[in-house]
Amino acid sequence: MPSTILPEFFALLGIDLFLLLSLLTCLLDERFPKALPYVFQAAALMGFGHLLISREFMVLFGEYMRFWYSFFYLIVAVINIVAVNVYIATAKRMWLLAKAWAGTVTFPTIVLTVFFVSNYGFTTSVEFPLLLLQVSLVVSTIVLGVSTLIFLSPDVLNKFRRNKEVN
Amino acid sequence: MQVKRIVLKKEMKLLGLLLSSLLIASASAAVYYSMEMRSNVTTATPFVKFVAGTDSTEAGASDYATDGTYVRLAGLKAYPNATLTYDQAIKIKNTDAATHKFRLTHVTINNDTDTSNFYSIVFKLIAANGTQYGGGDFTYDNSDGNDTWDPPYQTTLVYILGSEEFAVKVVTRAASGATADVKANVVISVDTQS
Repeated sequence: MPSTILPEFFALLGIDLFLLLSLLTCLLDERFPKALPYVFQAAALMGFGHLLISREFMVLFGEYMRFWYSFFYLIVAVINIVAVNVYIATAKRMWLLAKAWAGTVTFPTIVLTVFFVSNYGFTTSVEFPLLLLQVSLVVSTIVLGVSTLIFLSPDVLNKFRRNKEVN
Repeated sequence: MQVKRIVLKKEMKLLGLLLSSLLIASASAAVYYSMEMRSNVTTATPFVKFVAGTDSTEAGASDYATDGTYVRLAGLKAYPNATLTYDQAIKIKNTDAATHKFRLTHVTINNDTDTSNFYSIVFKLIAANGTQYGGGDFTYDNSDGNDTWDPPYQTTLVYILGSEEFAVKVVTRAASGATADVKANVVISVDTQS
């Protein structure tokens, strides 16, 4: 079955994610460094340049290479979304906002990314390195373990915070 | 007054970023769209096709009746040290009213035993008035008697008028003292242009 999307679709998705981040960090500007929305705009602009280069050298680069650099750009955008989420939760300690961000931005973004990438991988038989699967399994296990610990004994989190303040 | 100014400043910043975002998103989408090459392929009846000639039965012509785009000449013979001519082994016909162009191009030739059993296999494109077209003979030559065919490359383009027919004349010759029942398989493509 031929793929209906080009590898550059992932770069396009990454650009949109950076633009979304830019607008959201602008809306919540008192919680973030002032320059952050502009940094994300610049990252989106770089993605646009990346698309232009990809179009000009389409034949030279080949589909395999185009997929991996577009996919890398998308991963960078997703990592930024997760990083902002972590920043709100840990540095700013705004749990409510962090939860809202995770539910409305981080989770849908990751689901969309996994959906499009797996769909593309299925149609074009791209083989993802086995290490990727192992790393994601380890990360999932750690997140699951920490979540279970906090769920079963919420005091652990307060103790951790107190210890940090004492130190 | 101070609060109002701060709100206005934030709105302006947001508006600027929003416009910039719209511009980048639209330009990126346009670039992506320009990268997509969408082609529609529609099935159609071919204009230039193979039809039977007067010697098609002797030449063993088959497989051309359904679409007229492929023909197999399985009954061609070659006599040792004598030429055998099939004046109309098969015919190429333009079923359209408009003029089209075509040419013969060599694809492959091989045989089951020694090539030295053959002398030559010649294809000629002959118009209804008897004139030969295509820039001369299209010859698979082994007149030097070695074990290697010297195949042709392709004929020149032949203009075929509406409803016109060209006969494919085949002249074969085996080498003197050739072994019986040695087969040569020749594949020739007929490239048609509008």
